[in-house]
Amino acid sequence: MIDLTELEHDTISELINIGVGRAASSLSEMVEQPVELTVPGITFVERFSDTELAKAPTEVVSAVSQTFNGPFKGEAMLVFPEERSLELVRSLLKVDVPLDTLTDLEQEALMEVGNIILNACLGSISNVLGEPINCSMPSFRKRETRSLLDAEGSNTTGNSKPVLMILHVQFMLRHNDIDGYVLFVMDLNSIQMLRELVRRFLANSLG
Amino acid sequence: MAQQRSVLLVDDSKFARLLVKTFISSNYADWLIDEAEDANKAFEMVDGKSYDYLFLDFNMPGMDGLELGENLRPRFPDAVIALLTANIQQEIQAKAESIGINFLAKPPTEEKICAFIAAQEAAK
Amino acid sequence: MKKPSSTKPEKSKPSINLDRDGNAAELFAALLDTADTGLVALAPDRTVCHWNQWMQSRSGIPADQVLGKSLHEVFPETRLGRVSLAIEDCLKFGMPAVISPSLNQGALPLRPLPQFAASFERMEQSIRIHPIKTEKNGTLCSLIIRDVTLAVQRDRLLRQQAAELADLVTQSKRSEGRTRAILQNTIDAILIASDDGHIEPLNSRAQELCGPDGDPELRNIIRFLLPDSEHTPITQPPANRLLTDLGTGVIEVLACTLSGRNVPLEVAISHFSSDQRYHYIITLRDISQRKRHEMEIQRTMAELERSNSELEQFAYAASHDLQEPLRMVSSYTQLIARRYQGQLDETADEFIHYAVDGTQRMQRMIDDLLTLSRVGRHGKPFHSVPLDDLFDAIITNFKRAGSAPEGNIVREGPLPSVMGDASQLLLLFQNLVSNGLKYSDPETGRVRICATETPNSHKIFVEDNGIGIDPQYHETIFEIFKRLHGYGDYAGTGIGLAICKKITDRHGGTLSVTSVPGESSTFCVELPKELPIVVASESM
Repeated sequence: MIDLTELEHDTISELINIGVGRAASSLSEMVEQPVELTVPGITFVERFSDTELAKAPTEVVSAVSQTFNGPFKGEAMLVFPEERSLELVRSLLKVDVPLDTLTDLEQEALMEVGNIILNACLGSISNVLGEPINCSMPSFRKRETRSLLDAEGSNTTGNSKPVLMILHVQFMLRHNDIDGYVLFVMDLNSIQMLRELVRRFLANSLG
Repeated sequence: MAQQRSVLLVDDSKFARLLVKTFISSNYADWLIDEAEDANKAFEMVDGKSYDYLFLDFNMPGMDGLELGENLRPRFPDAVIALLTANIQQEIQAKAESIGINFLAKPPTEEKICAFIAAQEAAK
Repeated sequence: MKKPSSTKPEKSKPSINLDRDGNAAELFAALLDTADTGLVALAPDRTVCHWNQWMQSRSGIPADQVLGKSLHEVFPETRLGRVSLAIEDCLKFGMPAVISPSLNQGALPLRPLPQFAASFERMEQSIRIHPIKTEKNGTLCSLIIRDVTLAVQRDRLLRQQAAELADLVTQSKRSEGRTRAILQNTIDAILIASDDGHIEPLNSRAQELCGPDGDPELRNIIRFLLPDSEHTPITQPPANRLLTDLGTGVIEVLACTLSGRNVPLEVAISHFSSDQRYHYIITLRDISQRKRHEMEIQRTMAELERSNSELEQFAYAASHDLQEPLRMVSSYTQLIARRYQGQLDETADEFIHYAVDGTQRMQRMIDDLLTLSRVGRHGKPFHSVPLDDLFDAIITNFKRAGSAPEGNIVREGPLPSVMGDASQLLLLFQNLVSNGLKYSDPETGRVRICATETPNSHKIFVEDNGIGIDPQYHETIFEIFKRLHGYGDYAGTGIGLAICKKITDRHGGTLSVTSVPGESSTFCVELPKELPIVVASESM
């Protein structure tokens, strides 16, 4: 179904890497410490249950999500196991008194981090492919992994089955590395549209 | 017209290499362009061959572009070495500049690459 | 669903038609100006096209100085910051943005409300940046700024309190650790029992005694000893396991551990209340060592008693059996003296005198020895003895014997009543008075009797103005047959003070002497007000 050529896959991966790199430099400037963000791998799966994340169905995760709409549409999400999200926010904020759960302010900070990363990924794709994408404001959710994708009246559930583009992202901070995921949940039409745009772009630029 | 130059592109993304290669060859048709997907391959390529331009991706599996540049700098004291990255953090930028490595923000565009080369050629 | 009724159509209609009346702009401007958030709109060329009342008051910059300028012209510090980048992304790519107070402290230079001015230089802000797509003007950008200074202040307070709490926890853990260490390293076994009969060993020593290698009976014994154990059925522990001597207040039990050791334990029980329940703290002290000592003392005591009574028996038997032949010698020498005095030569008379004197002295000694042995053997039960009466009798005795001139036995103040054997006390004080008179000038000799009191005893002093006693003899004078002077100087058997000593001993008291040689001697009899158990139950 998702018959991407190696070059197409590589292109999407590079666009995302560019986005994530920009996000890292923004974050680094904001928190005045080195922040590196890498995307060791991108995979496409048809079922959420096939993802690495779904292996711990009852683990509580924190997610920042933004829906996007344009030539292709869906929902983008930055997901961390709750503990990792606490670590991340506290490393970035240099908090010395950790509390057991995210406070409202920490939650908003995590939302901003998600916003920066998701904007950068979507922006990079949109910029290079030359197609504008409309994004919603980020929203925060905290729930068990297995119900992560349950709809909240979002537009991810079309008539067709969703396809997931999963990015494994790694934050490398001064004292620790924190692993999380960026999920792009799209329907089949959207992913085909994305592939079409990538093909068109490759054809144009490479002659 | 400018003289013939040899270029090495090091990037783990085939797409990125293709893009830069296309931008260069469509403006400097006779230039020789080699590619490597990581630092190890790059070391093989530079063995017994000399380059005028080296474009290095920062984020690569294994040795990153900055370290690679540091290793290649003494070998090609006159070559132009440029680090291509979207991650334009002060620290990385400062370090690159301190060892004589130029900095190019990703994504690469035709104007960006050509303007950079033109400036370097003019300085030679 | 029921459709709205057509009979009252005017209810669903707004009373003002904004479009028709053409005052929409006026209303919306008023709405924006009364909002309790900052509202800024930027045109595609990055210039400010709206700046609401809230922004004016919090930035101190009126709208007319802002409109048409870019944000970084108004706030130069924002030129390269997060806000500018987010605005750029919004206008260029239509990306919305969240700008949080934690990651961007005081993103815009806005004033905090007066109540926060002391702790906050700037207002803490939570900013949302939205693209606004318009048909006429393309994409605009809105900034919505909320004042979250109060939330930030609360968050700080929360963290500060959490830190204090964490400190407290650390401290209490440390002190708990120390308490635990003390408990663990205490030699005594400590257990805690709740009122439901549950017993928990608190330290390793208690664990040893009550654990798998300890005494399986011990918990039951402890339950038996607890004051209110009616909640749990208790079986009477074997008699040999309770060493308690009831009445002494000391509880001693014997633990027989499975490892085969028998450990005598002293049990102390204290209590405290917590969680509205009663708890007992049981301390078990290993008293093996003390028990061994006690047994040794008991054995020695028994040994001593036995040899003592043997000795008394011997003394009694000896003196009693000696009396018979002595009486015969004495009778016959006295007979010879009476019948042949002056009929033989002078030397014979002298010899007879010595023989008679010798037998008389020996008679007195044997009498005294018998008295001495009787002090132990024939003691009467103790009762209260008024010493004033006793001394009346003594003085009468001396008068009758003619051995004391009038007024030379002086009593000062009333004398107390003491617990004792009246006939022995009479003997004691008579001996002391007689002793005092004996070593004094017969003409000027005077014996003074007085008494003082301590919280636990009566002291009776018998003071003379005689020759005194050299301090080096103060201990030995109470030994039997000790004489400091030749028989010719002062009469006596050398047994009198030994009898006195023995009597005071039997009364649980002490007899001592102080003296100024050549001037006086003072004997002090100190008798306890309460008789010690040992003395009272003495069988001698």
